[in-house]
Amino acid sequence: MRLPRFEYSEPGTLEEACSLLAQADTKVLAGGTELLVKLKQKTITPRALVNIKSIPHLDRIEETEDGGLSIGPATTLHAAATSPLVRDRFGLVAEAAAAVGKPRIPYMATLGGNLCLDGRCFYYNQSLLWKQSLPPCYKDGGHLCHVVQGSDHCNALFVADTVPPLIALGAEVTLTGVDGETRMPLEDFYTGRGEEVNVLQPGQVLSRIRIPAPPPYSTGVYLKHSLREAIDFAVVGVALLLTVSPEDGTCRDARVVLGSVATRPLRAVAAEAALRGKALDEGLVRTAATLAAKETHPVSHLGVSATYKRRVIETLTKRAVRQAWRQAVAGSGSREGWR
Amino acid sequence: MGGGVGGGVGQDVADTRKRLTVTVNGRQCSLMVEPNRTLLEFLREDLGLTGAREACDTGGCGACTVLVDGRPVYSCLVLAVDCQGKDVLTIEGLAVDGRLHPLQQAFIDHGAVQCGFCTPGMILTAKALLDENPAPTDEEVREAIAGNICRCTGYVKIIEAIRAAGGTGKPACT
Ligand SMILES: Cc1cc2nc3c(=O)[nH]c(=O)nc-3n(C[C@H](O)[C@H](O)[C@H](O)COP(=O)(O)OP(=O)(O)OC[C@H]3O[C@@H](n4cnc5c(N)ncnc54)[C@H](O)[C@@H]3O)c2cc1C
Ligand code: FES
Ligand code: FES
Repeated sequence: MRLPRFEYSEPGTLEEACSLLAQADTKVLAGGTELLVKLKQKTITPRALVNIKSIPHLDRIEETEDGGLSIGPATTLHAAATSPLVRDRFGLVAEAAAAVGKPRIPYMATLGGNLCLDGRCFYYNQSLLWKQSLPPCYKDGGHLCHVVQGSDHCNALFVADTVPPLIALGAEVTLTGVDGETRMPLEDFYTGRGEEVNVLQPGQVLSRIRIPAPPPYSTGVYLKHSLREAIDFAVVGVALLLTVSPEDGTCRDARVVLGSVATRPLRAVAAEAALRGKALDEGLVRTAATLAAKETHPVSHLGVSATYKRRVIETLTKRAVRQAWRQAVAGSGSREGWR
Repeated sequence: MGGGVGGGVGQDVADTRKRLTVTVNGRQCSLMVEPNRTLLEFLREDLGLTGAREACDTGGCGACTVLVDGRPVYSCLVLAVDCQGKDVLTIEGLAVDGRLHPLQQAFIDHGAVQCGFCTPGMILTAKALLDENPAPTDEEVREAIAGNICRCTGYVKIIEAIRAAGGTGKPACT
């Protein structure tokens, strides 16, 4: 499969990139592991690509004054997964980065590209030739969804692995455009619409990812289940940030974020509420996991039934809470608290 | 093929090519290439290095694996122009003065090559692994080659060959 023709530029600054991107039908090229596949399949055929990897310092990971991290979007997933700054205190992000298309994609793909990943669907992510046998779906500008008959919206799944852990940690992103910068919680970056997954406007670049210092006495976990262990998207991904009270070991706070179950990264708010303020025991673990499975509405798709997804959500949530709880008790969590 | 015009049949006359200077198998080359050319197409069609294979062409099989600055990447998903100033190693660059690399020899000795389609990608992936970890365990080898698919061998002999080349495996049966 040949790539269609496109204009190509390597800007030296973010400002230059933004003005190039403000022109019609222009896309950011980062690691290219999603974009180039879509171009080959002619799913999209942009007029121009702007390679942001040429901009200096956009691949840096730095500690911020308040003890958090500031990560450039062009940081490769491999660099994020192996950086001691990420691994030591934000282990769940490192785990998730390493799990993206494991083991090869992390060498090529970027963290920013993962955050900006489009919704995925078996019927959308196909070649033009393949798609000619079906009427266009919502995501291709049509009026139906091939996955859910009669649905009034696109059901493409949000599958990016690094996003649930980053939302659990309360990460923020900066969007830079010709008109200046906007900062927002990563959670608000996503629209929930399969057709248009995030709020990025033409001319904007996701220019920075900030993770605040983890709360004292917190531990985090990311668990991914896929049908194959290598080169595969998640059936379900579960990120958990659990904060416990050092006095009595009760759960002070919990943030549970699910990937690959909806058109957006999903907070399991009922499960979070069930855990918050309670003494952790096996019964509570089960209750929280059951709630997480119940409060989601996955759709059956290609041999992965909604029932199966729910069971995986339940199982992974259980495992995540147990693992975080064990780590918390062992004191291997956030170093601010435990030392 | 050659000339570097991938894809389009357009009649536009403007030269949209970029100069690419890259080191391939230790030799620097400088060519004009179209931006829409992948590294795989550049290697196979512009340089005639057909060791890197095209199979899925979408990042899912590993047949096109080459090393860029020592890291294994899928060359079907990298733009050639994105390799400016980089160091690319393909299977053709592995033997020195006609002497096979220990990994190549081990693949032969252990019967790890059947149709051979996956072999260049497998060997380069293994090289990147051994360069970082000269004595990998079975598990580590399996993890490293998990991004390379082989339809023929069932992987066992490939794993044996890689471990033998790393000095931690069993010698080949004679
Ligand atoms: C075989 C295979 C397996 C995969 N497995 C997984 C997996 O398990 N989990 C997973 O999450 N993904 C997976 N992916 C999808 C993809 O590789 C990853 O999501 C990757 O992180 C994308 O990053 P990239 O840098 O390659 O993005 P690109 O392909 O360069 O870009 C992706 C999209 O984001 C936009 N973009 C990129 N960076 C920015 C920025 N800074 N600002 C604004 N827009 C931007 C691009 O315009 C494009 O629309 C897989 C892909 C392949 C080919
Ligand atoms: S041809 Fe590149 S990964 Fe399959
Ligand atoms: S030897 Fe035939 S695919 Fe591996």
